[in-house]
Amino acid sequence: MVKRQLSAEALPRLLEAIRRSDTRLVAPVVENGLRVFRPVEHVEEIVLDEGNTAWSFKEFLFPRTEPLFHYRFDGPRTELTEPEPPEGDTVILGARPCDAAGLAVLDRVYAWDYDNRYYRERRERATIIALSCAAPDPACFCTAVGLSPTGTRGSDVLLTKINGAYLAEASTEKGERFLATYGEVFTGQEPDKTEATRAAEARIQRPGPVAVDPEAPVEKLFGHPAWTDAGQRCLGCGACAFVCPTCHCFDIVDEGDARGGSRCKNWDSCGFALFTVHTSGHNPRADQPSRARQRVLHKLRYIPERFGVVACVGCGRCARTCPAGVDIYETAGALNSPME
Amino acid sequence: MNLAIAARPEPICGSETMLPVPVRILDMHPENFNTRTVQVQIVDEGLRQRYRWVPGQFNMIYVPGIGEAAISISSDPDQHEAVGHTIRLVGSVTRAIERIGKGGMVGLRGPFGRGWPLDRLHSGDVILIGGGIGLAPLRPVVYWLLKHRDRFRRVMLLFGCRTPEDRLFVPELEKWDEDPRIDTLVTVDNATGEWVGPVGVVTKLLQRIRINADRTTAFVCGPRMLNRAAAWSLEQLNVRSERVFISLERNMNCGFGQCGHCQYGSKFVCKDGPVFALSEIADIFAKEEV
Repeated sequence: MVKRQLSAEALPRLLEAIRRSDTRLVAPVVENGLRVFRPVEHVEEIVLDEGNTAWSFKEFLFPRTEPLFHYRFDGPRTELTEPEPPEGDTVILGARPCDAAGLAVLDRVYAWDYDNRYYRERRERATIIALSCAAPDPACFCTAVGLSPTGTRGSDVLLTKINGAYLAEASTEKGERFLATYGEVFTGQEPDKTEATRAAEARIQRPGPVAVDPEAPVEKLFGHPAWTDAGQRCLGCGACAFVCPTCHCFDIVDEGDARGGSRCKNWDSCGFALFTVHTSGHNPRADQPSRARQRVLHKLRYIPERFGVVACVGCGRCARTCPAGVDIYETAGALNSPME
Repeated sequence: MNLAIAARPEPICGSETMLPVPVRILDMHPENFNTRTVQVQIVDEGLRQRYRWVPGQFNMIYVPGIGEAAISISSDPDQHEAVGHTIRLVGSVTRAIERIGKGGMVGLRGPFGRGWPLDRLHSGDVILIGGGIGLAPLRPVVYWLLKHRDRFRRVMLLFGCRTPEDRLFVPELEKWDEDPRIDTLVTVDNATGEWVGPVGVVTKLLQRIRINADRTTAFVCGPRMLNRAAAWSLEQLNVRSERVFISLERNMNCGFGQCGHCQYGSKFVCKDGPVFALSEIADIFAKEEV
């Protein structure tokens, strides 16, 4: 791991240098009152406040909607054409360690056997410059899933503010290249982040653990009353999936008119009633509790079993966003307390 | 994870880009009032030569502007010029395929999934149990079994559907009925017209045959309740769950185990299945709303 230091005064110079390069800079800005990741025109727009953004940056690797190909009707002929190539090199700056850690899930699912070209091309060209979290809020629980507000998993470079300057830790080759490219703004010191880590972790109010016993028989998990409680409150709006840094399900639909259109890959959610419905009308997950169960077991049981990584990063967004107060932290807690 | 995976051809169409390859509808044969067998030919000759599949695999058939549907392959795996798909006209895609008709073009991605474990039939007895359109992915197995008939002992096909009019592949069912190499039994839920054969659910046919549990392998494909009833009947007859194979149905979008729609516990039906050994899914097979 290569470590450097970045003074607080040098940070704007770094942002400006990235913006002036051929690389697209994506960072948190305020849009309609929400702090979200957007391509940046002027570095003054960037808001690196404490706390987390409303949405993670996943939409820059896995867009809300993207064409897989286009179709055009031309008399009796139909022409299919490949989509435009994705955006070029991108620096995503200001992601929290929880969001960066979420990439471990997307990386595995989108390459577990077949290569998802649409994701990979963006992923390869993206450098993730994460920013340690000094002030986790009451919904946060990253330490409950084995992560840390100053953890390096998933980031190429992690910046941690220590006594007015930033420690820059490059944990990948991409990160080392980044430090070399912008070498003139960094200095050679290596401040110690132990105290920053301790202080940030001490502010987390939800210790967990958030986990499902990998040995617990599925038939026992299925009958748990926690699903009824979460499912009866759930409105099926899908907001939890859209704000989640690891939710990766997508729908594929034709969007167009009588002349043609695009076959689009769109965000989807297992919380939606139609997610599993068959053409016959039969729906294997016919009620909301069964969908609540799928969401939690997918993250805490199925993906760990399949891909060796827990698919919840403790960012707390689903709990903060849910209009009905469904909270994966509480659901997982209920699951782990003994049943009546 | 213990997923006993038999050799299976990988998709050659659109595995990189999700772009379907053009195929021409060579023939559309009516099986009954709402079911058609559609023979399609991959237009690109190079791709056609490379395209291979095994019984139990499926393709995604695409109609531009309408959508895509996962359809089992129902033709003879040794026949490479065209690929057969038996469709029931219930959704927007299958209806559009019928409208396009013979001579028209659709898109194809595939083949997807893990097929029937033909390599595990050894020299034992084989029972095929199909319900309704579930007979479609079993037909290639029948072709294959009859071609390699001396490798097995008894071969039995049990088929059930709602009424005699709902039967598919009727000329072939009649031919197999007279073929001494395969015992064919057909039952219907409701005997209409001149039907004089068995009446009742397909699992009742199991009472008409002698099962030698030690050497029997069963392939099952039908609606959910039939799959369960067949699995439990076979269990009561002491057929081991490692030797009962079931082809499952789920809503599918991508075919690559990524879009999440066909998640079945920790498995993806499109990729780990659609054919599973009962022993692989025993913990969730009896569950509702997986």
